Amino acid sequence: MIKVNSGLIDKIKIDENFNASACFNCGTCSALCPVGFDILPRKLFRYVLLGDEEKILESTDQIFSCLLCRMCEEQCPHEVNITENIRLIRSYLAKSKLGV
Amino acid sequence: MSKVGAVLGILNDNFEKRKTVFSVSKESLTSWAKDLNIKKGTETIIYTGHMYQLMPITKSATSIYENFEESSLMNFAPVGRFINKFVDLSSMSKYAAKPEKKEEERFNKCLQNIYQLLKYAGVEAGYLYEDELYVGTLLYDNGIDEPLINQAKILNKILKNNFVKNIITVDPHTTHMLRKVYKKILPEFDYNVKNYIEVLFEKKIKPQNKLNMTLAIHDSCVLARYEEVIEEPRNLLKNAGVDCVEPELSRKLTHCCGGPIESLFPKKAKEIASKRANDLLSCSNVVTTMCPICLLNLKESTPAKDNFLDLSEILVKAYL
Repeated sequence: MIKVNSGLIDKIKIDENFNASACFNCGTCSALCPVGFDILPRKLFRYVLLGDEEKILESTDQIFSCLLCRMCEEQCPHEVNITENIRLIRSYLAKSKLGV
Repeated sequence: MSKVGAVLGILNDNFEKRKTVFSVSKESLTSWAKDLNIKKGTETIIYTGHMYQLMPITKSATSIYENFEESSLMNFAPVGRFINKFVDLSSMSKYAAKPEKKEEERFNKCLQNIYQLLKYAGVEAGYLYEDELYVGTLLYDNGIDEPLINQAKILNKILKNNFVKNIITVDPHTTHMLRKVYKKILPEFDYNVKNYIEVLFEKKIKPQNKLNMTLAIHDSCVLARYEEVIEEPRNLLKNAGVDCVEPELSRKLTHCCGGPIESLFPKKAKEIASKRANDLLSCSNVVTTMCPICLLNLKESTPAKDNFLDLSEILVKAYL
């Protein structure tokens, strides 16, 4: 069962550049990722769009392990602002969940 | 509080309270310029953003943290954050693992090289000395952007007071922050920002010596992908007689050095750096980098440390 936080997307989408909904889940972004995660970014964006806050919290270390190197964006066929999306998810976590 | 939260908290507290993430004395930050007679301020300035100067302490602090990363001592990280509010822990790291003198001299020399190259190109750049600020890349990348607005306002005032119009940056991260991020978070932050590599390329500087050497180029992710500075360093090197070779992943597809996560996950950062360093060394036994973070991470991930050179270290041999 998923506990959904319907207001989560509004807390994360504080910048017009946040476009997780443009991701069509193809997975091309992960092909050359130097860190080599299987969660980022397509699964992560689904969790955000669904409001699955628990899954996002479970992935905190992985979210902060992203290099923001934009290799993924070079591959993305749908111009998803992957690194800026991840940076804004970090911003939400830092402010609301990590006590920064 | 998680480990990530505690480490980011310490960095954030340092930035808010001490205007930087790692405390280094004003004297150390400006010592590179000591004998260069650089004017204070002026319309065009060189802006170091403290990045080259921070690398020696970054190296020593990371080596300490690497040993603790997976130990139970990390459970006390929140306590460390509490203490850090009163006692600057980052300044204590220099006692636990003192930055190497030769590293400080090397990174300072890179800055001197860059200043001298700009002078050779006919650019008389001033410098803000102790008024210069760290631009906060580490915080911004980790989603902590609110303290940056205040930093951008303070820096804007300093630049206005010094009549600055043109900023020449020396590292990719500061270039991106001042050219794109500060302008976005503070619209009146309106300066002509260029990386020194772009300036040297535009000035069409002529080499004094031809270098007969082959080297592998490591593009910085930020310079190549964020700022699209790709041909400029190649042109400067080729004009100097350098035969540039490139790994499979280069230019817009360059492979990260791992540096951006070294303060949170130093072991993972080293793994990534080691892979990249081996790819580069398989192309040539001399490798050039264009970012102090890339230089530090790549060289520290391999026994072939001396094979990694900052671009400025190559360019001075040809152009000065």
